[in-house]
Amino acid sequence: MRLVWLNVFIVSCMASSLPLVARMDVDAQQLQSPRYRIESESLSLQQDLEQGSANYDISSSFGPQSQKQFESRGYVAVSRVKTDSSDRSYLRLQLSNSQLVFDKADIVDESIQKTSVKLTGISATPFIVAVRQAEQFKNSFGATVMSTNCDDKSSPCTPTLAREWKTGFGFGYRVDRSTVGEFSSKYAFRPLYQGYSSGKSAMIFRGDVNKDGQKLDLEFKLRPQPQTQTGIYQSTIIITATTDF
Amino acid sequence: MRPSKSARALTLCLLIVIFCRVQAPVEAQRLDLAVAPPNIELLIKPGVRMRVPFTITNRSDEISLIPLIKTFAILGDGKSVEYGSAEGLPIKASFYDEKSELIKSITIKNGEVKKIFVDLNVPSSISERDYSLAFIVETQPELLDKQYSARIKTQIASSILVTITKSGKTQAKGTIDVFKVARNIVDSFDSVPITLHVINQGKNVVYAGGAITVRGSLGEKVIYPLESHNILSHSGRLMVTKLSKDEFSIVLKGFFIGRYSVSAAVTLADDTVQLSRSTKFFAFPFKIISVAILGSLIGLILLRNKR
Repeated sequence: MRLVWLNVFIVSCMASSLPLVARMDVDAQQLQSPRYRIESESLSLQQDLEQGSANYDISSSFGPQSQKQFESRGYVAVSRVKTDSSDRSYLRLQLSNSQLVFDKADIVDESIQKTSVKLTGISATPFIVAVRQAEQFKNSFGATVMSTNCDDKSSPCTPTLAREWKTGFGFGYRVDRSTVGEFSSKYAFRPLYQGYSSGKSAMIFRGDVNKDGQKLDLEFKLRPQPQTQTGIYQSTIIITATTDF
Repeated sequence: MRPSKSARALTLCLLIVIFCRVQAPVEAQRLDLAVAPPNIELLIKPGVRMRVPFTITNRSDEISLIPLIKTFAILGDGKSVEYGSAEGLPIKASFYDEKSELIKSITIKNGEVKKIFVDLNVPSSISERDYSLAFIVETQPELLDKQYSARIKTQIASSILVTITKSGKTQAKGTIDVFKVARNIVDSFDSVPITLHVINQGKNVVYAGGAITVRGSLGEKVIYPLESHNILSHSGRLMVTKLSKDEFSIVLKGFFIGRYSVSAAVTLADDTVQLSRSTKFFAFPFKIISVAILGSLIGLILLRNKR
């Protein structure tokens, strides 16, 4: 019985002492021992300065000689990507397959085609890989195969949001090892943005890439709607790899 | 009648040739391209024309490439990119080969390295601000006559950030728009996610760095340096540390007790502008206390029942 009461007493003491411990920080500022004086000075720096503005010289970001060069030539240039020992920097892209033939696509059977993208850079360079479709699958009469909405009509997938797609019709894709998107399930798919000369692309990777490279496996799925006209349907998919700013 | 040896050899040769011909388009589908430099920042006076060289290396079969200049922007959701038409842009771009001849496309053989020069013509009347561009080379794979087929055009792009300024001075103007702890009261054993988001309100790109400092009520202090990143004009960026995870700048882990003050010190453009903000959180061992109280109660009940 004594042990139980002792336990209750210890817990009560702990609970009641916590606010005191929490307040020690404030008391410490007033004690001004060497340790807490530092804290007090730091606190004076903590006067929140949420906004700030200044004009600055280019030499701080482009190097000490840049102002002279700028005055004489009218421009200066710098690449911020680190270079290797041979003083070369690059972005290298390897694509395993640039032609996708969905030869089994019909109402019953979906057709899946795969390709992989490998990116290589130097010294952990930040890169972006994005994908879009120039236009929907179209035949010579203008009939199209629509993009997928995935299975749940009340919560459809979008070009930036993957959802489960097992039974519905249309065209969509998924990515393994993506850093952007929700492709954790092997049934998680997204439709593609559409537009050729300009337009939005959905990111499928945003992160650092080094000499060892980063590989992304893309899986494109096509299941045409039952009323789709016969004919030759073609489409163009655009994969863009660029350095992140 | 059995075919002669020479006829058999001829048939074999024919089969090999046919097999190679069939294999050829499959080989052509592979692509291996590199562009250098992968990014470039330019500071240009209005009314100046400058030439930027890019090197393209082809390690796949002979390929035809189209050079393009597009505007480049990462959209607000952080999940989309927009490559816009450069037609309405005041900066005009044209492409030249190594012989200084104007080009609209370029053919590169396997193992070949070629240079493309991009001429940027900046008009005198252009407004002083930043322009985010992308120099793109685009592949042109064929469309196939199959029932359902898609070609993949690959665009490999080098980002170009152009700052237009007459004087060579640029503007650093920013604000910390979000600095918060996910929960201000946490259990001692919980992880503590912190978000720090900075907005560049100026007309030029800025490089942001700094640190997040955590001070405990018992005097302990830990400094977490922020990774230096640029923030484009009129855009925001989540500042990250080595302990970043998902949408959080830092996720603190360990045993916490008492009051903790957390401060963010952000520097823009090599300390030209200093921003700071602070917040706090409280940590108590709720779980231990709950278990201890529950244990005591159960003990009491058991002892009473025993009597």
